[in-house]
Amino acid sequence: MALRFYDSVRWRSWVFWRKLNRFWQLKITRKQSCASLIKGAFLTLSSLVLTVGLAGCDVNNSDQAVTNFPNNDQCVASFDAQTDYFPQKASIKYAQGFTVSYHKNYKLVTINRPFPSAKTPLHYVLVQCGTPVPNAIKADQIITIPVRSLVVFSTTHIPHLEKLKVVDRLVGVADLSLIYSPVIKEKATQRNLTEVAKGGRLNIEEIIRLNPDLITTFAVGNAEADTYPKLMELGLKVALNAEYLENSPLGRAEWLKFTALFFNQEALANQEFNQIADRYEKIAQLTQKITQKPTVLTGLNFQGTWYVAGGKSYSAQFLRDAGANYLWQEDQSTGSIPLSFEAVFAKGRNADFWLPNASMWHSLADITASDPRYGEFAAFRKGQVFNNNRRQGNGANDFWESGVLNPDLILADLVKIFHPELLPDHELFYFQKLQ
Amino acid sequence: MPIRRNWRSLLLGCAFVLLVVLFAVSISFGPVPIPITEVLSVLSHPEDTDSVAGKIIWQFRLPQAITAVLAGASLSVSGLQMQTLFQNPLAGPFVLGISAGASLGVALLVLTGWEVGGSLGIVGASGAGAFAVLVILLLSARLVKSATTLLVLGLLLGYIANGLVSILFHFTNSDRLRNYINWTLGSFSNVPWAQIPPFALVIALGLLLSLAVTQPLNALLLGESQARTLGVRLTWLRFWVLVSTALLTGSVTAFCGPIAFIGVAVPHLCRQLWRTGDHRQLWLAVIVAGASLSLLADLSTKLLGRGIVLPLNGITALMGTPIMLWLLLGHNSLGHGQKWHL
Repeated sequence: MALRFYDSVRWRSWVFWRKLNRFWQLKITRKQSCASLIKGAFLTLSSLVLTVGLAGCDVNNSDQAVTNFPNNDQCVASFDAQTDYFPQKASIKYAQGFTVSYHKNYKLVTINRPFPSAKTPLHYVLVQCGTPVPNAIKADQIITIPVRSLVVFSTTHIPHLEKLKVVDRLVGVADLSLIYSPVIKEKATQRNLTEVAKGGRLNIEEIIRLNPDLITTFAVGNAEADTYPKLMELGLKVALNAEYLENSPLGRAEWLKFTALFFNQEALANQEFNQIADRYEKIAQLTQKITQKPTVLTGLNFQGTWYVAGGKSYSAQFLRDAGANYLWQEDQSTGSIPLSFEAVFAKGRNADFWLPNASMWHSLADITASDPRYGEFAAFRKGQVFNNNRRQGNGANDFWESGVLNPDLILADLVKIFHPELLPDHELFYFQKLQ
Repeated sequence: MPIRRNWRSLLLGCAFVLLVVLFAVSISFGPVPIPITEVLSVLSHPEDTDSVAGKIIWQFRLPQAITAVLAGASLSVSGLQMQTLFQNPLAGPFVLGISAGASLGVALLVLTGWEVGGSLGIVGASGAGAFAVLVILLLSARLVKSATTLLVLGLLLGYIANGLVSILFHFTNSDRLRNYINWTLGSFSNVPWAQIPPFALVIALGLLLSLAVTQPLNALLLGESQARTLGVRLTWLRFWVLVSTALLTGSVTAFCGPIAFIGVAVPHLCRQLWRTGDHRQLWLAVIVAGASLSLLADLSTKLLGRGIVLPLNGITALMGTPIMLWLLLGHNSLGHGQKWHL
């Protein structure tokens, strides 16, 4: 140990000595210094030209990126401390994950559990543009609203923008190939959209170039997977959306109001969400008196592990509301349970319906090709296998995108599947019967 | 010395009994409780497969247990061969880059979304990947003189394949990733009856080949030059050992995923227990012990109960590391594993 320390000291002193020698050997002649001066001037000049050129490019680019700014970004011209700048207020009924309180010129948003392992809630202060930031307020982020340019990292936030009529504020998405929305695809063909995380790799430079007012994303609480700390390090404003932790379909959909907070679009969000909730509750009412509840099995075997939805998960809630008897509804977990094929077979072989939620299956033949043992399930033999991939593009599935905001449509599909007589006119939207 | 020989046969007998017991436990114990009497009645009436217990035992537990036995035996035998061929105690069935090649095949299939073939598609893809690596290795085995170079070549091939896999990851979404990741965790439960005969056939072929080369491998224990003077043709030996290992590990990886640790740990364990380096004796010992250990690992994946399964490779690592550590600290076999007398 001591010897190693001695060695390292000796090595370092030797390196230092060599550097010192070299320094003294540098005898600068007048000729040399003149040449270096010219060289230096040349370098400075050329770098100046480059910088100006690049800056010029930059301005052009950012102009291109933020073309369609609407005119209704009301920045307050003269601040009045007594005015209530937010006459529209969001009222939250189903979502457990966030709350908002209104104060004259700012909103205080609390995200109760931003990710599963989060110990403390997050507080965002949303300040109306042109008004002063409140003093002595404890917040994780202070964000100026209404937001004029936005980058979204989750496909589930895109339907919010369409509902709130603010698609024009969208300047960037994570990866276009994961998006189903025709509106966004169309916007992309007009080159109004930048991809900032193609293939799951964050393109920091592109984000810096876009310099959006806000980035909406989600966190899983894993330092390797989460991108938001890096983005916040750059001084960007990041809103963490935790809709995926809600355990009820309407709770997930209500995060529409969370997005609305950043655009002062609460009135529209309240109205749209009320319609969704009304339709959902009406359909759920239809199944209240049902006594014959068919048994339902979900999921599929992934290389030896069959993940079934937990009994307290939002999928289980859907099945309950659709008048089905979910086989694992007694289970207490909110996530999914990793079971063996054998255990699922024993419990689910006689289930009346099977919803595999498998993007790659388009026919019954696909299923038995993947494992002949699936053919033993009663639902398979009776042809009662319904898959959620009716609206599926290349790599994107609309069920996981607009479905989050349209729980009424999903519920209608499920009721149509389990009790077709209750909704004779409904046509399956997200689901299809595998033949 | 007949006494010594009897002692070894006795040990082998014990190991065999253990294997049979573990096999019986695997069939009768599972997430769905089935009474022993029912298990016996199901097994005695193979034509009656309509009852739930019958379906579970015939369609799930029996193929799974058979797969575990086949996989454990073949991984251990190829580990034994690799350790002798490369004279390296850390060598295992996957040093040749075969599992990396198989991973590349599966990654290509799963991540590009060309996955309609299901489990058979995965078997085909990983088999093709392993075969591609084998062809490269066999071609180079004729040119390369030393075993060490071959070992390094296998490692390099593995790096290339893993590099390509990570590039493929770059262009995929998380949905498909799950299929690939679950494949890398390993499982014995994905081989239905229809796939057992081809699987068993390939493994039988590989095992027969490995039995045929036990004698020259014994000579190799004395060192390469000694083996040469004893009349062993090294390039020929290397070629056939490679073919046998590729058949054994390639098929296991294709059907069960890359199963870790069993192939490295079992040969050491057997050398230690049987106190010999003789491949003729170790061959059978390694087969029985490897099959038992993988059955035990498979049983442990069901330990949590309530039908929940644990990832197999997590279990094999947890079981394999203490075995290696025990051998390393208590018996000093690692590094001297090749020094056992014939």
